Amino acid sequence: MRGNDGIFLSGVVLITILSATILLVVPDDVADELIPIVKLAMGIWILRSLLNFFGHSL
Amino acid sequence: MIAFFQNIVGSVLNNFIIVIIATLMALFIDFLFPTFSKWTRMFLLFIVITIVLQPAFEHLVLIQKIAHSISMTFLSIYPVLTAAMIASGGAFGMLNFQPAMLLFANGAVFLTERLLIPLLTAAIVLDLASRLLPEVSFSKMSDLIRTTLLGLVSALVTAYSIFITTGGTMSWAMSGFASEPIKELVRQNVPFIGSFMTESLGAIGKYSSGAAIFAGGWLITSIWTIALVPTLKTLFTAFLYRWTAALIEPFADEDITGVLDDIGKTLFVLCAVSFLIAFALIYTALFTVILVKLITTMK
Repeated sequence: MRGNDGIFLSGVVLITILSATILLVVPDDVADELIPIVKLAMGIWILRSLLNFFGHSL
Repeated sequence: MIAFFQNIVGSVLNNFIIVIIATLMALFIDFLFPTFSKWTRMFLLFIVITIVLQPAFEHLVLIQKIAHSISMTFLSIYPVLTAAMIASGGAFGMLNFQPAMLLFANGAVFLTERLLIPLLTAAIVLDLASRLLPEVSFSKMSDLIRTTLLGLVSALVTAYSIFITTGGTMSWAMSGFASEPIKELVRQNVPFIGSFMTESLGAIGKYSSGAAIFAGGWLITSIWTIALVPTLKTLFTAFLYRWTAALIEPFADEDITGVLDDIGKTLFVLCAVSFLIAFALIYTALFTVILVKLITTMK
């Protein structure tokens, strides 16, 4: 449980920092297109972690 | 007491002064190079996070260490206590103590160490993530974690007080009219956990006044002080976060004040969690004291 928590949080932090940096570097119009991709990545990560936590009871 | 507060303020204030100066520098840079405002914001956020997180995490680690060492102490002391309870036999029955409370106290400390403090860390991290990237916000989840933890802690303390009051032989002098204004003051001025603090202090006070007959007022006061020092320290640091946020709000970005405010909120919840440990310590210490007194006087 503890290890899984740590992995989930590190994934969230990693995605956040990486995407914040990328959004800073690219110009504004590209950044607008990138935001949905970042959201998609975060959604996939959260769903994957959720399945990791509770997947065996589904 | 003053030296104690100076010590706390001195260890934390440096960080906050650096934050205030960094905010001012960012304002200057924004004024001189307006095109770089996005970069300035991000750098300022990074500086603030790295500097300001340090005291918060120090407190989290401190409370976790205390929880760990107290639960180890309990594990080692309970066999001795149980043996003493059995040895004292019938004399113990007249006190109406709840031996189950000891198990309960240990469980609460274990819960704190394993579940509550990791969840609080998660709340801080999620808050920071949502400030860093406002498009992907986790603020609802961290709010949920905080309120759930607070509810959990309140429920545990209520359970404590139920155990204690059904134990009988307990009455409290300080619950009279004299302390009502103080209670109201605390309730109004400490955000989130004000009413929780007064209620729980009342509950544990009820218990220790019963014990004061056996153990003496000064001993009880010293046990209370020792048990509540980490809690007070955390409370004071949480207030420092909020004060800094209020101080820099006129000239700083909303992000920066938001980060400070969020960390302050989480530290308030940490303060409530550390109450649990304090209760467990107070209960066990008083229990031991009364047991030893009883055994030595009955002999």
